[in-house]
Amino acid sequence: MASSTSGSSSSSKVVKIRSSDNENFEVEEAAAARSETIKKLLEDVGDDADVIPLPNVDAKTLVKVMEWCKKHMDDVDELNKEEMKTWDAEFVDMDQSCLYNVLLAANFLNIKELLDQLTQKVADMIKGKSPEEIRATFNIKNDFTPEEEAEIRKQNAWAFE
Amino acid sequence: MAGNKAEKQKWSELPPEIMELILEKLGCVDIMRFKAVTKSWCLVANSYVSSPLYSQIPKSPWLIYPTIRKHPLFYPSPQSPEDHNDHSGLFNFAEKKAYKIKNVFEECKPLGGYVLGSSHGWLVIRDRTSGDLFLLNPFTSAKIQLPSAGNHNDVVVRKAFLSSDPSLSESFSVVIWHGWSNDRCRRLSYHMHGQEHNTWTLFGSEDRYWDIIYYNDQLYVLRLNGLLEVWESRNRLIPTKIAAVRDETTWQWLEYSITNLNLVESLGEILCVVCIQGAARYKYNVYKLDFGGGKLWKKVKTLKDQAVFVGRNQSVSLSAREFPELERNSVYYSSWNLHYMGYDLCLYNLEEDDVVLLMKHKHFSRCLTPFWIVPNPW
Repeated sequence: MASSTSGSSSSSKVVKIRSSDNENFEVEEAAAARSETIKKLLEDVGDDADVIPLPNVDAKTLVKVMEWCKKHMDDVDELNKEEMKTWDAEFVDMDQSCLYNVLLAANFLNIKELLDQLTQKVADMIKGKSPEEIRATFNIKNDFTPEEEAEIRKQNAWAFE
Repeated sequence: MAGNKAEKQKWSELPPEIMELILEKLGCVDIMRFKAVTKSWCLVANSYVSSPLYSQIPKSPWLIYPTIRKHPLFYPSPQSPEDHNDHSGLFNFAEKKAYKIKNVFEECKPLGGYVLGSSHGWLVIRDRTSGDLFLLNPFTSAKIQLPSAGNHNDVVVRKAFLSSDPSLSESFSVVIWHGWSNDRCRRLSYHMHGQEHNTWTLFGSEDRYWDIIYYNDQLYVLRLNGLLEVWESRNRLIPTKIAAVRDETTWQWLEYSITNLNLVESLGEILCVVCIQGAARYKYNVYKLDFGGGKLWKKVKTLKDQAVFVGRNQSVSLSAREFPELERNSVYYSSWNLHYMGYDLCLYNLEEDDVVLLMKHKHFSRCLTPFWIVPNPW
Protein backbone atom coordinates (compact mmCIF):
# COMPACT_ATOMS: atom_id res chain seq x y z
CA MET A 1 0.00 0.00 0.00
CA ALA A 2 2.74 2.40 1.06
CA SER A 3 4.59 1.86 -2.16
CA SER A 4 1.56 2.75 -4.27
CA THR A 5 1.14 6.15 -2.57
CA SER A 6 4.81 6.94 -2.86
CA GLY A 7 4.60 5.81 -6.49
CA SER A 8 1.85 8.24 -7.36
CA SER A 9 3.53 11.16 -5.60
CA SER A 10 6.83 10.49 -7.31
CA SER A 11 5.19 10.16 -10.73
CA SER A 12 5.21 13.92 -11.14
CA LYS A 13 8.86 14.11 -10.14
CA VAL A 14 11.17 14.90 -13.00
CA VAL A 15 14.69 13.59 -13.63
CA LYS A 16 17.28 14.87 -16.05
CA ILE A 17 19.11 12.55 -18.42
CA ARG A 18 21.81 13.32 -20.96
CA SER A 19 22.35 11.52 -24.26
CA SER A 20 25.74 10.55 -25.74
CA ASP A 21 25.58 13.60 -28.02
CA ASN A 22 25.13 15.84 -24.99
CA GLU A 23 21.46 16.68 -25.24
CA ASN A 24 19.61 17.00 -21.96
CA PHE A 25 16.10 15.66 -21.42
CA GLU A 26 13.65 16.02 -18.58
CA VAL A 27 11.47 12.99 -18.05
CA GLU A 28 9.07 11.91 -15.37
CA GLU A 29 10.83 9.69 -12.89
CA ALA A 30 8.18 6.98 -13.18
CA ALA A 31 8.85 6.76 -16.92
CA ALA A 32 12.64 6.83 -16.62
CA ALA A 33 12.49 4.17 -13.92
CA ARG A 34 11.14 1.66 -16.45
CA SER A 35 14.81 1.36 -17.20
CA GLU A 36 16.44 -0.80 -14.54
CA THR A 37 19.76 0.90 -15.32
CA ILE A 38 18.41 4.43 -14.69
CA LYS A 39 16.45 3.23 -11.67
CA LYS A 40 19.60 1.83 -10.10
CA LEU A 41 21.56 5.00 -10.88
CA LEU A 42 18.81 7.10 -9.27
CA GLU A 43 18.87 4.93 -6.17
CA ASP A 44 22.64 5.23 -5.96
CA VAL A 45 22.86 8.99 -6.33
CA GLY A 46 19.62 9.75 -4.46
CA ASP A 47 18.19 13.26 -4.69
CA ASP A 48 21.59 14.84 -5.26
CA ALA A 49 21.52 13.79 -8.89
CA ASP A 50 21.91 16.60 -11.30
CA VAL A 51 21.97 14.99 -14.73
CA ILE A 52 22.27 11.28 -15.40
CA PRO A 53 24.63 10.71 -18.33
CA LEU A 54 23.80 7.89 -20.74
CA PRO A 55 26.98 7.61 -22.83
CA ASN A 56 25.71 4.73 -24.97
CA VAL A 57 22.48 6.26 -26.27
CA ASP A 58 22.18 9.10 -28.77
CA ALA A 59 19.45 11.75 -28.57
CA LYS A 60 17.34 10.39 -31.42
CA THR A 61 17.27 6.92 -29.90
CA LEU A 62 16.70 8.21 -26.39
CA VAL A 63 13.62 10.16 -27.53
CA LYS A 64 12.25 6.96 -29.02
CA VAL A 65 12.95 4.88 -25.92
CA MET A 66 11.48 7.50 -23.58
CA GLU A 67 8.36 7.64 -25.76
CA TRP A 68 7.89 3.95 -25.00
CA CYS A 69 8.67 4.39 -21.29
CA LYS A 70 6.16 7.22 -20.97
CA LYS A 71 3.45 5.10 -22.58
CA HIS A 72 4.30 2.19 -20.29
CA MET A 73 4.66 4.30 -17.15
CA ASP A 74 1.48 3.09 -15.49
CA ASP A 75 0.04 -0.38 -15.18
CA VAL A 76 -2.36 -1.12 -17.98
CA ASP A 77 -5.89 -2.08 -17.05
CA GLU A 78 -7.85 -4.68 -19.00
CA LEU A 79 -9.76 -2.05 -20.98
CA ASN A 80 -6.66 -0.48 -22.44
CA LYS A 81 -4.87 -3.74 -23.18
CA GLU A 82 -5.99 -3.91 -26.80
CA GLU A 83 -5.21 -0.25 -27.38
CA MET A 84 -1.76 -0.75 -25.88
CA LYS A 85 -1.15 -3.77 -28.10
CA THR A 86 -1.88 -1.69 -31.19
CA TRP A 87 0.34 1.10 -29.92
CA ASP A 88 3.21 -1.33 -29.24
CA ALA A 89 2.85 -2.90 -32.70
CA GLU A 90 3.08 0.54 -34.31
CA PHE A 91 5.99 1.49 -32.08
CA VAL A 92 8.21 -1.44 -33.09
CA ASP A 93 7.34 -0.91 -36.74
CA MET A 94 10.37 1.31 -37.37
CA ASP A 95 13.06 1.25 -40.01
CA GLN A 96 15.86 -1.23 -39.67
CA SER A 97 18.55 1.26 -38.56
CA CYS A 98 16.33 2.78 -35.90
CA LEU A 99 15.33 -0.71 -34.70
CA TYR A 100 19.01 -1.62 -34.27
CA ASN A 101 19.75 1.46 -32.18
CA VAL A 102 16.64 1.13 -30.02
CA LEU A 103 17.41 -2.56 -29.50
CA LEU A 104 20.93 -1.80 -28.22
CA ALA A 105 19.59 1.04 -26.08
CA ALA A 106 16.87 -1.16 -24.54
CA ASN A 107 19.57 -3.70 -23.72
CA PHE A 108 21.89 -1.09 -22.16
CA LEU A 109 19.06 0.61 -20.27
CA ASN A 110 17.76 -2.84 -19.24
CA ILE A 111 14.08 -2.45 -20.14
CA LYS A 112 12.99 -6.06 -20.23
CA GLU A 113 9.54 -5.64 -21.72
CA LEU A 114 10.73 -3.35 -24.51
CA LEU A 115 13.62 -5.69 -25.26
CA ASP A 116 11.14 -8.52 -25.51
CA GLN A 117 8.95 -6.61 -27.97
CA LEU A 118 11.91 -5.58 -30.12
CA THR A 119 13.48 -9.03 -30.27
CA GLN A 120 10.04 -10.40 -31.19
CA LYS A 121 9.95 -7.89 -34.04
CA VAL A 122 13.40 -9.01 -35.23
CA ALA A 123 12.36 -12.68 -34.94
CA ASP A 124 9.27 -11.94 -37.04
CA MET A 125 11.51 -10.31 -39.66
CA ILE A 126 13.63 -13.50 -39.78
CA LYS A 127 10.82 -16.06 -39.80
CA GLY A 128 10.22 -17.86 -43.08
CA LYS A 129 13.12 -16.15 -44.85
CA SER A 130 16.07 -17.78 -46.60
CA PRO A 131 19.61 -16.87 -45.41
CA GLU A 132 19.98 -14.62 -48.50
CA GLU A 133 16.76 -12.78 -47.70
CA ILE A 134 17.80 -12.37 -44.05
CA ARG A 135 21.16 -10.92 -45.12
CA ALA A 136 19.41 -8.48 -47.46
CA THR A 137 16.93 -7.43 -44.74
CA PHE A 138 19.60 -6.66 -42.16
CA ASN A 139 22.40 -5.60 -44.49
CA ILE A 140 24.68 -8.43 -43.37
CA LYS A 141 27.72 -9.56 -45.31
CA ASN A 142 28.14 -13.25 -46.03
CA ASP A 143 31.51 -14.10 -44.43
CA PHE A 144 31.40 -17.86 -45.03
CA THR A 145 33.60 -19.47 -47.63
CA PRO A 146 31.50 -21.32 -50.24
CA GLU A 147 32.67 -24.61 -48.68
CA GLU A 148 31.64 -23.58 -45.15
CA GLU A 149 28.25 -22.43 -46.32
CA ALA A 150 27.67 -25.63 -48.29
CA GLU A 151 28.57 -27.67 -45.19
CA ILE A 152 26.09 -25.82 -42.98
CA ARG A 153 23.35 -26.20 -45.55
CA LYS A 154 24.13 -29.88 -46.01
CA GLN A 155 23.47 -30.60 -42.32
CA ASN A 156 19.79 -29.81 -42.81
CA ALA A 157 19.40 -29.58 -46.56
CA TRP A 158 15.60 -29.99 -46.38
CA ALA A 159 15.21 -26.72 -44.47
CA PHE A 160 16.68 -24.75 -47.38
CA GLU A 161 14.45 -26.11 -50.14
CA MET B 1 24.94 9.58 -45.15
CA ALA B 2 22.94 6.46 -45.85
CA GLY B 3 26.16 4.53 -46.47
CA ASN B 4 27.60 5.62 -43.14
CA LYS B 5 24.48 4.56 -41.30
CA ALA B 6 24.54 1.11 -42.84
CA GLU B 7 28.12 0.67 -41.72
CA LYS B 8 27.33 1.64 -38.17
CA GLN B 9 24.70 -1.02 -37.77
CA LYS B 10 26.35 -4.31 -37.42
CA TRP B 11 23.55 -6.77 -37.03
CA SER B 12 26.19 -9.49 -37.25
CA GLU B 13 27.78 -8.09 -34.09
CA LEU B 14 24.72 -7.91 -31.86
CA PRO B 15 25.56 -8.86 -28.26
CA PRO B 16 24.97 -12.59 -27.65
CA GLU B 17 22.35 -11.89 -24.96
CA ILE B 18 20.19 -10.06 -27.51
CA MET B 19 20.77 -12.80 -30.09
CA GLU B 20 19.57 -15.38 -27.58
CA LEU B 21 16.36 -13.44 -26.97
CA ILE B 22 15.77 -13.49 -30.74
CA LEU B 23 16.60 -17.21 -31.02
CA GLU B 24 14.14 -18.03 -28.23
CA LYS B 25 11.39 -16.74 -30.49
CA LEU B 26 12.36 -18.83 -33.52
CA GLY B 27 11.36 -22.37 -34.44
CA CYS B 28 13.95 -24.96 -35.45
CA VAL B 29 13.81 -24.38 -39.23
CA ASP B 30 14.32 -20.67 -38.77
CA ILE B 31 17.28 -21.40 -36.48
CA MET B 32 18.78 -23.61 -39.22
CA ARG B 33 18.53 -20.74 -41.71
CA PHE B 34 19.72 -18.27 -39.06
CA LYS B 35 22.92 -20.32 -38.74
CA ALA B 36 23.63 -19.99 -42.46
CA VAL B 37 23.50 -16.16 -42.44
CA THR B 38 26.91 -15.29 -41.03
CA LYS B 39 29.69 -16.82 -38.91
CA SER B 40 28.89 -14.93 -35.72
CA TRP B 41 25.20 -15.90 -35.90
CA CYS B 42 26.19 -19.52 -36.52
CA LEU B 43 28.33 -19.58 -33.37
CA VAL B 44 25.63 -18.04 -31.19
CA ALA B 45 22.96 -20.40 -32.57
CA ASN B 46 25.17 -23.46 -32.01
CA SER B 47 25.82 -22.55 -28.41
CA TYR B 48 22.12 -21.75 -27.91
CA VAL B 49 20.81 -25.10 -29.21
CA SER B 50 23.36 -27.06 -27.19
CA SER B 51 22.54 -25.25 -23.94
CA PRO B 52 20.54 -27.05 -21.21
CA LEU B 53 18.05 -24.19 -21.39
CA TYR B 54 17.16 -24.98 -24.98
CA SER B 55 16.46 -28.65 -24.30
CA GLN B 56 13.86 -27.63 -21.73
CA ILE B 57 11.98 -25.16 -23.90
CA PRO B 58 8.75 -26.74 -25.18
CA LYS B 59 8.62 -27.21 -28.93
CA SER B 60 5.64 -27.59 -31.18
CA PRO B 61 5.18 -31.00 -32.84
CA TRP B 62 5.32 -31.52 -36.58
CA LEU B 63 3.57 -34.14 -38.55
CA ILE B 64 5.70 -36.80 -40.21
CA TYR B 65 4.16 -39.00 -42.87
CA PRO B 66 5.69 -41.75 -44.96
CA THR B 67 4.97 -41.29 -48.64
CA ILE B 68 5.18 -44.75 -50.13
CA ARG B 69 2.61 -44.78 -52.92
CA LYS B 70 1.83 -48.46 -52.87
CA HIS B 71 2.22 -50.35 -49.70
CA PRO B 72 4.76 -53.18 -50.04
CA LEU B 73 2.55 -55.45 -47.97
CA PHE B 74 -0.27 -55.23 -50.50
CA TYR B 75 2.06 -55.34 -53.47
CA PRO B 76 4.81 -57.67 -52.32
CA SER B 77 6.23 -58.21 -55.80
CA PRO B 78 7.47 -56.98 -58.10
CA GLN B 79 9.10 -54.08 -56.36
CA SER B 80 9.13 -51.38 -58.94
CA PRO B 81 11.10 -48.27 -58.00
CA GLU B 82 7.95 -46.13 -58.30
CA ASP B 83 6.42 -47.99 -55.36
CA HIS B 84 8.84 -46.33 -53.05
CA ASN B 85 9.15 -42.62 -52.76
CA ASP B 86 12.57 -41.45 -51.81
CA HIS B 87 11.35 -39.08 -49.13
CA SER B 88 9.13 -38.74 -46.09
CA GLY B 89 6.90 -35.75 -45.64
CA LEU B 90 7.07 -33.26 -42.80
CA PHE B 91 4.45 -30.68 -42.00
CA ASN B 92 5.13 -27.69 -39.79
CA PHE B 93 1.97 -26.11 -38.38
CA ALA B 94 3.68 -22.89 -37.39
CA GLU B 95 4.59 -22.15 -40.99
CA LYS B 96 1.77 -24.18 -42.56
CA LYS B 97 4.44 -25.59 -44.78
CA ALA B 98 5.43 -29.08 -45.95
CA TYR B 99 9.03 -30.27 -46.26
CA LYS B 100 10.63 -33.39 -47.66
CA ILE B 101 13.25 -35.36 -45.74
CA LYS B 102 15.04 -38.62 -46.39
CA ASN B 103 12.69 -41.60 -46.41
CA VAL B 104 12.61 -42.92 -42.85
CA PHE B 105 12.33 -46.50 -44.15
CA GLU B 106 15.27 -46.19 -46.48
CA GLU B 107 17.26 -48.82 -44.65
CA CYS B 108 14.35 -51.26 -44.43
CA LYS B 109 14.54 -52.93 -47.80
CA PRO B 110 12.98 -54.70 -49.63
CA LEU B 111 9.75 -54.85 -47.61
CA GLY B 112 10.01 -51.47 -45.92
CA GLY B 113 9.25 -50.78 -42.30
CA TYR B 114 6.76 -49.19 -40.01
CA VAL B 115 6.81 -46.72 -37.16
CA LEU B 116 5.92 -48.04 -33.70
CA GLY B 117 6.12 -44.81 -31.81
CA SER B 118 7.76 -41.44 -31.56
CA SER B 119 9.06 -39.62 -28.56
CA HIS B 120 11.67 -36.95 -27.88
CA GLY B 121 12.13 -36.40 -31.62
CA TRP B 122 13.01 -40.04 -32.32
CA LEU B 123 11.00 -42.65 -34.19
CA VAL B 124 10.94 -46.30 -33.14
CA ILE B 125 11.02 -48.23 -36.43
CA ARG B 126 10.64 -51.90 -37.21
CA ASP B 127 12.10 -53.45 -40.30
CA ARG B 128 9.47 -55.62 -41.96
CA THR B 129 12.02 -57.99 -43.48
CA SER B 130 14.27 -58.71 -40.51
CA GLY B 131 11.93 -57.74 -37.68
CA ASP B 132 14.75 -55.58 -36.28
CA LEU B 133 13.98 -52.58 -34.16
CA PHE B 134 15.87 -49.31 -34.21
CA LEU B 135 15.56 -45.69 -33.22
CA LEU B 136 15.87 -43.06 -35.91
CA ASN B 137 16.12 -39.33 -35.62
CA PRO B 138 14.60 -38.38 -38.97
CA PHE B 139 16.13 -34.90 -38.85
CA THR B 140 19.74 -35.92 -38.31
CA SER B 141 19.52 -39.50 -39.69
CA ALA B 142 21.14 -40.70 -36.44
CA LYS B 143 20.32 -44.33 -35.77
CA ILE B 144 20.44 -46.47 -32.61
CA GLN B 145 20.00 -50.21 -32.95
CA LEU B 146 17.76 -51.96 -30.40
CA PRO B 147 17.78 -55.68 -29.60
CA SER B 148 15.65 -57.83 -31.87
CA ALA B 149 12.13 -58.55 -30.70
CA GLY B 150 11.98 -61.68 -32.82
CA ASN B 151 10.81 -62.56 -36.27
CA HIS B 152 8.31 -60.18 -37.82
CA ASN B 153 5.86 -63.01 -38.57
CA ASP B 154 5.96 -64.35 -35.02
CA VAL B 155 5.97 -61.22 -32.90
CA VAL B 156 3.83 -58.19 -33.50
CA VAL B 157 4.97 -54.99 -31.79
CA ARG B 158 2.16 -52.54 -31.35
CA LYS B 159 3.68 -49.53 -29.68
CA ALA B 160 7.00 -48.41 -28.22
CA PHE B 161 7.92 -45.85 -25.58
CA LEU B 162 11.14 -44.06 -24.69
CA SER B 163 12.00 -42.98 -21.15
CA SER B 164 14.09 -39.98 -22.18
CA ASP B 165 15.83 -38.27 -25.07
CA PRO B 166 18.60 -40.57 -26.44
CA SER B 167 20.42 -37.50 -27.82
CA LEU B 168 21.02 -36.21 -24.29
CA SER B 169 22.13 -39.38 -22.55
CA GLU B 170 22.96 -42.93 -23.51
CA SER B 171 21.19 -44.30 -20.49
CA PHE B 172 17.61 -44.44 -21.59
CA SER B 173 15.14 -47.26 -21.59
CA VAL B 174 12.55 -48.49 -24.05
CA VAL B 175 9.32 -50.35 -23.44
CA ILE B 176 7.54 -52.29 -26.16
CA TRP B 177 3.99 -53.54 -26.14
CA HIS B 178 3.86 -56.75 -28.15
CA GLY B 179 2.17 -60.08 -28.75
CA TRP B 180 1.29 -62.70 -31.33
CA SER B 181 -1.10 -60.59 -33.34
CA ASN B 182 -2.44 -57.08 -33.15
CA ASP B 183 -5.45 -57.95 -31.00
CA ARG B 184 -3.35 -60.25 -28.87
CA CYS B 185 -0.73 -57.74 -27.85
CA ARG B 186 -0.71 -58.60 -24.19
CA ARG B 187 2.92 -58.42 -23.14
CA LEU B 188 5.28 -55.65 -22.15
CA SER B 189 9.04 -55.83 -22.46
CA TYR B 190 11.72 -53.54 -21.17
CA HIS B 191 15.17 -52.72 -22.46
CA MET B 192 17.74 -50.60 -20.70
CA HIS B 193 20.14 -49.21 -23.24
CA GLY B 194 23.90 -49.33 -22.79
CA GLN B 195 23.86 -52.43 -20.56
CA GLU B 196 25.73 -55.66 -21.12
CA HIS B 197 22.51 -57.62 -21.49
CA ASN B 198 21.40 -56.32 -24.79
CA THR B 199 17.98 -57.88 -24.66
CA TRP B 200 14.29 -57.40 -23.89
CA THR B 201 12.98 -58.43 -20.48
CA LEU B 202 9.32 -59.29 -19.99
CA PHE B 203 7.58 -57.56 -17.10
CA GLY B 204 4.04 -57.14 -15.79
CA SER B 205 1.12 -59.50 -16.29
CA GLU B 206 -0.15 -60.90 -19.52
CA ASP B 207 -3.13 -58.66 -20.14
CA ARG B 208 -4.73 -56.32 -22.59
CA TYR B 209 -3.83 -52.67 -22.22
CA TRP B 210 -5.33 -49.34 -23.11
CA ASP B 211 -2.21 -47.24 -23.15
CA ILE B 212 1.15 -46.66 -21.54
CA ILE B 213 3.09 -43.48 -20.88
CA TYR B 214 6.55 -42.68 -19.61
CA TYR B 215 6.74 -39.72 -17.29
CA ASN B 216 9.73 -38.85 -15.08
CA ASP B 217 11.16 -42.35 -15.54
CA GLN B 218 7.92 -43.80 -14.27
CA LEU B 219 5.76 -45.92 -16.46
CA TYR B 220 1.99 -45.51 -16.21
CA VAL B 221 0.27 -48.60 -17.54
CA LEU B 222 -3.50 -48.66 -17.96
CA ARG B 223 -4.88 -52.19 -18.20
CA LEU B 224 -8.09 -53.06 -19.99
CA ASN B 225 -9.91 -53.74 -16.72
CA GLY B 226 -9.15 -50.22 -15.57
CA LEU B 227 -6.28 -51.11 -13.26
CA LEU B 228 -3.63 -48.42 -13.35
CA GLU B 229 -0.09 -49.55 -12.55
CA VAL B 230 2.89 -47.32 -11.94
CA TRP B 231 6.35 -48.78 -12.54
CA GLU B 232 9.62 -47.19 -11.51
CA SER B 233 12.37 -47.65 -14.07
CA ARG B 234 15.10 -45.16 -13.19
CA ASN B 235 18.50 -46.92 -13.33
CA ARG B 236 16.86 -50.31 -13.19
CA LEU B 237 17.48 -53.40 -15.23
CA ILE B 238 13.84 -54.25 -14.78
CA PRO B 239 11.00 -51.91 -13.71
CA THR B 240 9.55 -52.26 -10.21
CA LYS B 241 5.84 -51.89 -9.60
CA ILE B 242 5.27 -49.10 -7.07
CA ALA B 243 1.51 -48.67 -7.29
CA ALA B 244 -1.60 -50.39 -8.62
CA VAL B 245 -4.94 -48.64 -8.28
CA ARG B 246 -8.37 -49.37 -9.58
CA ASP B 247 -11.44 -47.31 -8.97
CA GLU B 248 -14.71 -49.08 -9.85
CA THR B 249 -16.97 -46.07 -9.61
CA THR B 250 -15.15 -43.89 -12.06
CA TRP B 251 -14.33 -46.61 -14.45
CA GLN B 252 -17.82 -46.61 -15.90
CA TRP B 253 -16.77 -44.59 -18.91
CA LEU B 254 -14.82 -47.58 -20.04
CA GLU B 255 -18.15 -49.31 -20.58
CA TYR B 256 -18.69 -47.19 -23.68
CA SER B 257 -17.31 -48.58 -26.85
CA ILE B 258 -14.14 -46.58 -26.81
CA THR B 259 -12.20 -46.76 -30.03
CA ASN B 260 -9.06 -45.47 -28.49
CA LEU B 261 -7.63 -43.91 -25.39
CA ASN B 262 -4.43 -41.99 -24.82
CA LEU B 263 -2.52 -41.17 -21.69
CA VAL B 264 -0.94 -37.72 -21.85
CA GLU B 265 1.25 -35.76 -19.49
CA SER B 266 0.09 -32.17 -19.30
CA LEU B 267 1.53 -29.54 -16.95
CA GLY B 268 2.76 -32.27 -14.62
CA GLU B 269 -0.53 -34.14 -14.52
CA ILE B 270 -1.50 -37.40 -16.16
CA LEU B 271 -4.54 -37.04 -18.39
CA CYS B 272 -6.60 -39.75 -19.97
CA VAL B 273 -7.92 -38.59 -23.34
CA VAL B 274 -10.77 -40.84 -24.35
CA CYS B 275 -12.16 -41.00 -27.86
CA ILE B 276 -15.95 -41.10 -27.53
CA GLN B 277 -17.09 -41.29 -31.12
CA GLY B 278 -15.81 -43.85 -33.52
CA ALA B 279 -17.24 -42.34 -36.72
CA ALA B 280 -15.15 -40.44 -39.24
CA ARG B 281 -14.96 -37.54 -36.81
CA TYR B 282 -13.75 -38.26 -33.32
CA LYS B 283 -14.69 -36.42 -30.16
CA TYR B 284 -12.88 -36.67 -26.87
CA ASN B 285 -13.52 -36.71 -23.14
CA VAL B 286 -10.67 -35.83 -20.84
CA TYR B 287 -10.03 -37.21 -17.34
CA LYS B 288 -7.35 -36.26 -14.87
CA LEU B 289 -5.52 -38.76 -12.67
CA ASP B 290 -5.93 -37.95 -8.98
CA PHE B 291 -4.36 -40.14 -6.32
CA GLY B 292 -5.71 -37.82 -3.63
CA GLY B 293 -8.70 -39.98 -2.71
CA GLY B 294 -12.22 -40.10 -4.09
CA LYS B 295 -12.46 -40.74 -7.78
CA LEU B 296 -9.22 -41.86 -9.37
CA TRP B 297 -10.08 -40.22 -12.69
CA LYS B 298 -11.82 -36.86 -12.50
CA LYS B 299 -13.52 -35.52 -15.59
CA VAL B 300 -11.96 -32.31 -16.83
CA LYS B 301 -14.26 -29.78 -18.52
CA THR B 302 -11.54 -27.74 -20.12
CA LEU B 303 -7.88 -28.10 -21.07
CA LYS B 304 -7.61 -24.32 -20.64
CA ASP B 305 -4.73 -23.04 -22.76
CA GLN B 306 -3.40 -26.50 -23.55
CA ALA B 307 -3.48 -28.25 -26.93
CA VAL B 308 -3.00 -32.01 -26.78
CA PHE B 309 -1.63 -34.15 -29.61
CA VAL B 310 -2.72 -37.77 -29.47
CA GLY B 311 -1.86 -40.71 -31.67
CA ARG B 312 0.53 -43.58 -31.75
CA ASN B 313 3.26 -41.18 -30.77
CA GLN B 314 3.97 -40.38 -27.17
CA SER B 315 1.24 -37.82 -26.66
CA VAL B 316 2.23 -34.18 -26.25
CA SER B 317 0.57 -31.29 -24.47
CA LEU B 318 1.51 -27.69 -25.28
CA SER B 319 0.35 -24.24 -24.32
CA ALA B 320 -1.42 -22.29 -27.07
CA ARG B 321 -0.15 -19.14 -25.38
CA GLU B 322 3.39 -20.10 -26.31
CA PHE B 323 2.38 -21.44 -29.71
CA PRO B 324 -0.12 -19.09 -31.33
CA GLU B 325 -0.52 -21.49 -34.25
CA LEU B 326 -2.26 -23.95 -31.94
CA GLU B 327 -5.87 -23.76 -30.82
CA ARG B 328 -6.30 -23.82 -27.06
CA ASN B 329 -8.51 -26.35 -25.29
CA SER B 330 -8.20 -28.77 -28.21
CA VAL B 331 -7.23 -32.33 -29.00
CA TYR B 332 -5.29 -32.82 -32.27
CA TYR B 333 -5.58 -36.24 -33.91
CA SER B 334 -5.49 -38.08 -37.20
CA SER B 335 -8.13 -40.56 -38.35
CA TRP B 336 -8.47 -42.92 -41.27
CA ASN B 337 -11.07 -41.86 -43.80
CA LEU B 338 -12.53 -44.74 -45.79
CA HIS B 339 -14.19 -42.49 -48.36
CA TYR B 340 -11.02 -41.49 -50.03
CA MET B 341 -8.56 -43.89 -48.42
CA GLY B 342 -6.46 -41.37 -46.61
CA TYR B 343 -5.92 -39.70 -43.29
CA ASP B 344 -7.79 -36.70 -41.97
CA LEU B 345 -5.98 -34.40 -39.59
CA CYS B 346 -8.44 -32.81 -37.23
CA LEU B 347 -8.77 -30.95 -34.02
CA TYR B 348 -11.56 -31.34 -31.52
CA ASN B 349 -12.32 -28.27 -29.45
CA LEU B 350 -13.72 -29.11 -26.01
CA GLU B 351 -15.51 -25.82 -25.52
CA GLU B 352 -17.21 -25.69 -28.91
CA ASP B 353 -17.70 -29.47 -28.87
CA ASP B 354 -16.78 -29.27 -32.53
CA VAL B 355 -14.35 -30.92 -34.93
CA VAL B 356 -12.31 -28.92 -37.43
CA LEU B 357 -10.69 -30.64 -40.41
CA LEU B 358 -7.14 -29.28 -40.73
CA MET B 359 -6.00 -31.21 -43.74
CA LYS B 360 -6.46 -34.35 -45.80
CA HIS B 361 -3.78 -36.68 -47.05
CA LYS B 362 -4.82 -39.07 -49.75
CA HIS B 363 -1.49 -40.67 -50.47
CA PHE B 364 -1.14 -42.20 -47.03
CA SER B 365 -1.37 -45.90 -46.74
CA ARG B 366 -3.53 -47.17 -43.92
CA CYS B 367 -0.56 -49.01 -42.43
CA LEU B 368 1.61 -45.92 -42.61
CA THR B 369 0.01 -43.73 -40.02
CA PRO B 370 1.12 -40.11 -39.87
CA PHE B 371 2.94 -39.30 -36.62
CA TRP B 372 3.36 -36.27 -34.47
CA ILE B 373 7.03 -35.65 -33.85
CA VAL B 374 8.71 -32.95 -31.82
CA PRO B 375 11.77 -32.04 -33.90
CA ASN B 376 15.11 -32.75 -32.27
CA PRO B 377 17.38 -31.81 -35.16
CA TRP B 378 20.66 -30.80 -33.48
